[in-house]
Amino acid sequence: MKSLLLFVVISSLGFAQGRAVDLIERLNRMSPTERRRVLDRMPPARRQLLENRINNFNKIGPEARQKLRKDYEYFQQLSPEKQDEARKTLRQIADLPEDRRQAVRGTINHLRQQPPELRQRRMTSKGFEQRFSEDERKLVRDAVALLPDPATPQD
Amino acid sequence: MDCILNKNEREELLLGYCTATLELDTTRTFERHIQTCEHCRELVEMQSVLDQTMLDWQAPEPDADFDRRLFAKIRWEQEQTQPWWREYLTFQLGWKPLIPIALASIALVVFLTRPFETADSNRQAEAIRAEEIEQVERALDDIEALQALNQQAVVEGAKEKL
Repeated sequence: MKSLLLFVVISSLGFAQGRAVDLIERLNRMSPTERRRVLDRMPPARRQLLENRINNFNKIGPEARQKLRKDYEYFQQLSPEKQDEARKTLRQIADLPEDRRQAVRGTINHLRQQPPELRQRRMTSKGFEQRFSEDERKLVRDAVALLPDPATPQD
Repeated sequence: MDCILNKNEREELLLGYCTATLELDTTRTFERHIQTCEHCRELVEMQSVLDQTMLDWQAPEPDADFDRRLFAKIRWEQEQTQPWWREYLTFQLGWKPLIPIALASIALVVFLTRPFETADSNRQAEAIRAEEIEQVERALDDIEALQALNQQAVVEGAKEKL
């Protein structure tokens, strides 16, 4: 059951990498006993954490999951260096105080859906400068540069 | 730089990492370490190659004529005149030679009546290695971070204005 959940997560995200596709196929061919064995050899705390994360993922609605899938596919196509940069930026945003985090994330999302030209204009506007500190502005700029909305046409 | 593998538990750490049996914190610490320690990185790569080789190895199948030749040889040996001491031993042992035959029969019955799992399935399970479990964990890290952005979009919605 656990590995079946694992399979659902991976397959619903549509991994682009060959290794991940192999993993899906192998999981698919396994008997339930074998699937269980894959996770059962992990330390209990780590296994529990992984299962919880998978369960949380499965609670995401279909529409949000579709959007997430596109974002993740786009993310996978970035170079490893860019991926690391994006991770670092997202971690820094997550570490902001609650109210600032919400403001920064909301703005990033809004900007991601804008055409590049408009996006750029907004990030140089007076309002943008007044609303965010220098560090926050950098986080927004980095996140938007690294993670533009995949559905929005890019230059 | 002080190498983790210079400590006493180095084998456990290396093998634990390669089989995904370490706690998550230890795994992450070790991953950070191998990014900077060439020696450890090489050991992990060598261990991975070894694991993969073991997984890929397949015992050669006996040829189609094997059974016939085996039984012919057994029959030939049985037909040879036994030395006096072997006859004596066989007589003295009585029913005892039946024990391994009985045990082998039980093992055969257990083998034939076990829950059906193909050899391929077993190999597939073994082939899910530490790095692939970690691949899933890392993917979940990224997904959760991206999800946090999307969730905020739902909260903020259309009211967001610069």
